[in-house]
Amino acid sequence: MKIKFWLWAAFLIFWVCLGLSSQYPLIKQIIPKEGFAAFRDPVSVREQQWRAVKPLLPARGTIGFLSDRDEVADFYQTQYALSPLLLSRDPLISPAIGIIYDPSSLEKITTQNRMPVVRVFENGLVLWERPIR
Amino acid sequence: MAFIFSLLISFLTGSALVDRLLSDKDGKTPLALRLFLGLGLGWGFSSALLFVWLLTIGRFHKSYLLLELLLCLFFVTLSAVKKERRPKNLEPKVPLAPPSGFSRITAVGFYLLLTGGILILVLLSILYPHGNWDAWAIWNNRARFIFRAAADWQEAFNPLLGWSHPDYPLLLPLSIARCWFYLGEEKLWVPSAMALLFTLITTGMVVSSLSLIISRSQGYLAGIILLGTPFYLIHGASQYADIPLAFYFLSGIVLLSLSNQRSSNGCGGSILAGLMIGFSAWTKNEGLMLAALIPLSLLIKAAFTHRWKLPGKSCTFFLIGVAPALAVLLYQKIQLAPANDLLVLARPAQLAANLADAERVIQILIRFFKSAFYFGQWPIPLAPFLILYALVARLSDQASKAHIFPFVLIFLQTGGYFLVFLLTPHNLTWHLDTSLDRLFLQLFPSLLFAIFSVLKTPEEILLCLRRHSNLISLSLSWIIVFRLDMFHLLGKNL
Repeated sequence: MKIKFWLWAAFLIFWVCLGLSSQYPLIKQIIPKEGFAAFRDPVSVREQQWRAVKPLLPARGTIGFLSDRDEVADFYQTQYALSPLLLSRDPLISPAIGIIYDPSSLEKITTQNRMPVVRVFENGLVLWERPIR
Repeated sequence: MAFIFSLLISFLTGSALVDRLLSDKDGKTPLALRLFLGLGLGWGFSSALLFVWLLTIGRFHKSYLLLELLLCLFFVTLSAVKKERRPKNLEPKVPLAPPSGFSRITAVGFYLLLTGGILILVLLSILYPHGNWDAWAIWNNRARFIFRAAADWQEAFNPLLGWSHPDYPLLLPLSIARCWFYLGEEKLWVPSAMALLFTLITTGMVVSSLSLIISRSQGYLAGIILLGTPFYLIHGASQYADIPLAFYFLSGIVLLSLSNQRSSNGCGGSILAGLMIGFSAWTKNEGLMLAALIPLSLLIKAAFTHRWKLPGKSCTFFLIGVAPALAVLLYQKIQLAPANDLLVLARPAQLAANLADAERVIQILIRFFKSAFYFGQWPIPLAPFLILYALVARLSDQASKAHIFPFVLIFLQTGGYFLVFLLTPHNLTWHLDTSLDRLFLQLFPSLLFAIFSVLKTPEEILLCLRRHSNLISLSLSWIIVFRLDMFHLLGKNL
């Protein structure tokens, strides 16, 4: 009976060790290489960047979104950061905000959409607005 | 402090309801069960209440908090009044066994893994406070609309947000927004805290329900497997709705199984199960499928047990329980939200072609098998390990034909998922890649409950161990598990 008990106890310990052995690599994987203090997830970074633009935008309604890259993540993260403002990819909507990766494409986008730049912010963030006639 | 107060209101309301419905004729409801079920039920109830408030009043107002408090007091008083009338010394049919040597060993193991699990959940929540993709793109985004837009909260269903699935149910976004309303401001840690709490109550529900029905050691064993599953922990912190959904699935299944074993007529248990499954549908669309499949599963169980009277009664009470959550869900789907993407994109000719496509069927079957085999990101494949353990442990003497119910339900739900993939208008590989593992995760805690509720407990196995044969089979299973580990590692390296 004693042997059976210890065999089962060993089996349970093995079971627990298996569970712990699956948790340990996960913890190792989670800890960022650059350290906790230096790490910032992309959504928080994007939200922080839009904070400077937010005061210049209307509180409600729909604004345009333009970019020189078709990055779904950029559009979704911007919508998340600026809710409850609604973002539309319709180029006719003014004001519009956007993310420009290549500075040389800013002029092209501005002319294409006939919407003057109000301000260029850090990290390629841009605000456009058509003058009210 | 306000967050704790919001939790307390939800918990007291939920646990009073649980107590009122479960302890009707059976005596006291176990504290752990009341805690986990109460919190889940309270969140479901308060999110539905907030939705009705927003629809009728138009915007959040502080008097809503007073309404919640009054309702909480009402339910608590109702539960206390009922308690006084209840005859004393009524114990559940299956009394909780005293802790054995095994349960102590398994408890130590469980709490070790629980500590590791909480550490992982907290680390992930600190590093990714907005959660993973679906969390910020869908659930937290909707919560922000509800909280930030005040009277314009219905903008959350604007067609411009079509990419964020505005037709998805609102339990999670409303629960997050409700906490922000209590706090008076939007705090980033609230969605993380909700995700963490849902993961903990799901784990607690698995352990406490098995402890109540079978034995403590059996509950801890299932808890060890659950907490040793990296995919469960990753999703616990991802702030997706899959773990909350898994909790409501599990609660519904446990309550229907419990009403089988404990109650004389099971009407309270069936109503409560209905409420939980209703709130699963209020969490994610998959819950609607489960709600529809439960009456069918009860009928199949009746066919196995030849007890035809019970399913009719259970179904009626179950439907009474499901009704409130379904009512708010249907209102949201019909009046506010645009149609589901799967329905919008579906074309009859394409559906017919998909149904007749044998290659598609094989592709889905292979993918289902692979995902089930390697589920959970364990160091060794979990499924064969569990099968081996089941072969060694064997069926418990208490296992009866009535225990087939959760297995039938999980099988039917998996069949439903198979059908959705077969018919999907989206790219099949993309759809399988992005959702299949999470669909299995939704059913995983319920499956663990179903498996461990029919297997012998470690204590029973020890009693039944014949000198040689079982020792040999146990040793063999050890060897096979190690070999599997080697094959797995080899496969990974190749």
